Amino acid sequence: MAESPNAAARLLIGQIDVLLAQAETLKRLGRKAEAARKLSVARAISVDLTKLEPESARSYLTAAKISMADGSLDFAADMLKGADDLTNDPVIRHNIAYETSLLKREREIAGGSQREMIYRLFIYSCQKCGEFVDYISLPCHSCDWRPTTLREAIVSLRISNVMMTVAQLATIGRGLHTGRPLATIIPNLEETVADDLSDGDTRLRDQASGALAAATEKSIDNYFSWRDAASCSSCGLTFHRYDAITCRKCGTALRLPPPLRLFLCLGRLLIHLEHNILLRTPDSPRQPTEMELFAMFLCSLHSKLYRTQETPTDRERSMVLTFMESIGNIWTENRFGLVDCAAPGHIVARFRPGATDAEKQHIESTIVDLRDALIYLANWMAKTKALC
Amino acid sequence: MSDLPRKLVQLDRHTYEVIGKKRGGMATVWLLRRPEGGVDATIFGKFRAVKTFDALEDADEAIIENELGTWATLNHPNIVPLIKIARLNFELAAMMELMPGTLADYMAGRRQPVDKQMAIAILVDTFRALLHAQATANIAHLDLKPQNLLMRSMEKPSVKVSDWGLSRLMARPGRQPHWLSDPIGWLKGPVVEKTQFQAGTPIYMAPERFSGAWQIGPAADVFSVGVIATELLTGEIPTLDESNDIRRSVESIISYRYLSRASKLLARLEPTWLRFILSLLDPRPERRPTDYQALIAQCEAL
Repeated sequence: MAESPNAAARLLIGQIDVLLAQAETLKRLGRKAEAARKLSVARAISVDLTKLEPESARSYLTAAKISMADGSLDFAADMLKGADDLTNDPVIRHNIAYETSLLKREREIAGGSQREMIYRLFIYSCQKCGEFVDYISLPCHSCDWRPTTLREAIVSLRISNVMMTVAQLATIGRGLHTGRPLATIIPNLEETVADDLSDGDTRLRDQASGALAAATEKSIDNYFSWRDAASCSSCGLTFHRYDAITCRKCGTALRLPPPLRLFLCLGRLLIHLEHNILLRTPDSPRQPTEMELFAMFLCSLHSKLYRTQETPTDRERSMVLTFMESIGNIWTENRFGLVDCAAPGHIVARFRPGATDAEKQHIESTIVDLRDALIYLANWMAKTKALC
Repeated sequence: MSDLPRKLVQLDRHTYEVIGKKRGGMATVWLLRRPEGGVDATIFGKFRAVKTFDALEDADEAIIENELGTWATLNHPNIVPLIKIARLNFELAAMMELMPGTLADYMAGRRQPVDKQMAIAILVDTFRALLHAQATANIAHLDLKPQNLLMRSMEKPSVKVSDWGLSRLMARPGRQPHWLSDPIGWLKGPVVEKTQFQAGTPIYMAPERFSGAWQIGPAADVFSVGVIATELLTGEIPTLDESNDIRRSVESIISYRYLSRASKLLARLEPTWLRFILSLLDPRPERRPTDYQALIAQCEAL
């Protein structure tokens, strides 16, 4: 029996999707000629698809994906727009939205500096545990909390780097961590949010509603594996150290894949940044400091690993090292000590000149732990071979 | 009462339910299904099979990626496509389409030899896959066995070859293929104590692979096809000792005793079949036919 056009189109789309995925894998492996060959085959098959369904959203979407893979971003944008105009199918619309977000990211990478991208990153403090997170629509990597009401979503937006400095977010996080209710950390919170909920300007409400809608749509994919992956296979104890070799409870040898070690290392650094590090010098202007940008960048890399298990690209790796060089000294909040990472190949911890014995004792374990985590980070970025 | 919720895994950015898990050797195959209500986004379809690799050291990831990358270059109707090198719960993972079952499953279900037409179809499919891999990527499979021949459907006699390049990974120094951890401990015996060989599954491995020096190439795969052909048509593995003892089986391969067993098993077939399969099982690699085009033609003429 002959296949229906619909089934034939699905078959072609399936073949093209596999070829695109293979091309992506080969590209990431640096096998560019083989990746280009896969793309050529995909392009050839897409001609058949276009003949079969010349005016379908699926054909446009497929053409957009192929164009994006070979770097023709403007054409990809046109095709995505065309696809969007041609369909009401929720699955295709979901895929169009996903590809559109990828295209946006590709364009930012192609068109601007990564530094500008970091300026545009959003970081929120989780309302429950205070950890830095970068998507309010997803559960917090640390405590699984996420906003489920409009009010909660508005509060999350209020305690983001759009409204506050990263240093202020760290202060909120520290407060929450010690058990203080958010309303006591930010005295006018209730009043401000009440205004937001009733204000004539609906932009914040719209943004919050959008985040809640996205959360509902993505909820099926809300299983994140890091806790299971970072658990001892014998006793089930979750470990949080990137350098763990054996389980501290039962002594079983542990094996952590490199991306998981990086995830745990970034998590540790973010804890340091939130609790122990001086993010902002007093009286500085409201423009983010280099240290705050670094914190935002690490938060986004941590989040990417958590959400998608994607390791940093080559570009992101070199960006981390460049940040470390330009920051130089990372001071502790109390200024008793610092970690000098100006040379990422030679990171050292130091006490402030003239520090007293009491000050040294107070800070020693912190700067040693921070130094070790930064050394691990620098080594990972410079040396670890892991598919990004 | 409703079923208990299935275990979940994270495949890249997608959640999947585990509907099956098969451990073998140094790898685990996960059979996965998207949860109810999940959008089938592009390659992350409703059902997927994913292979992860056990007990890797950090440095191994780059090597695995390279080997899997070679698999990803292969594109042929008789080769299971490697869709993507993904991450499953942070482990490196080979993502494949989910096939209905393996030839081994099929044979186990039948409990009797297959007919000749079916055997021809399976052998031709396998040779076509080997020809394509040799012609486009210059690679041999080196771990051909019914478990790596996946059925397109459990009714039609057609297979796709899976697991390309993985036997080379497992043969790296310091790596122990799964059968080396067999309690029988045959490797410690006098016969093979000092040998080095490419990892694979011993009862499908050619005699030369148990010696120190051998040339990686099609002859090794042709031998494995010969073992599979005998198994298809007689229901017996010629290289497997009657006691089912792996160590004795290896000794039988090294001492060429398997040949007389194969001859006995195949005796009831026509002479053309007998001659063809015994040529594949020739103990001397240089005497085995290795021109896949010619082998396909020979099979079709049978």
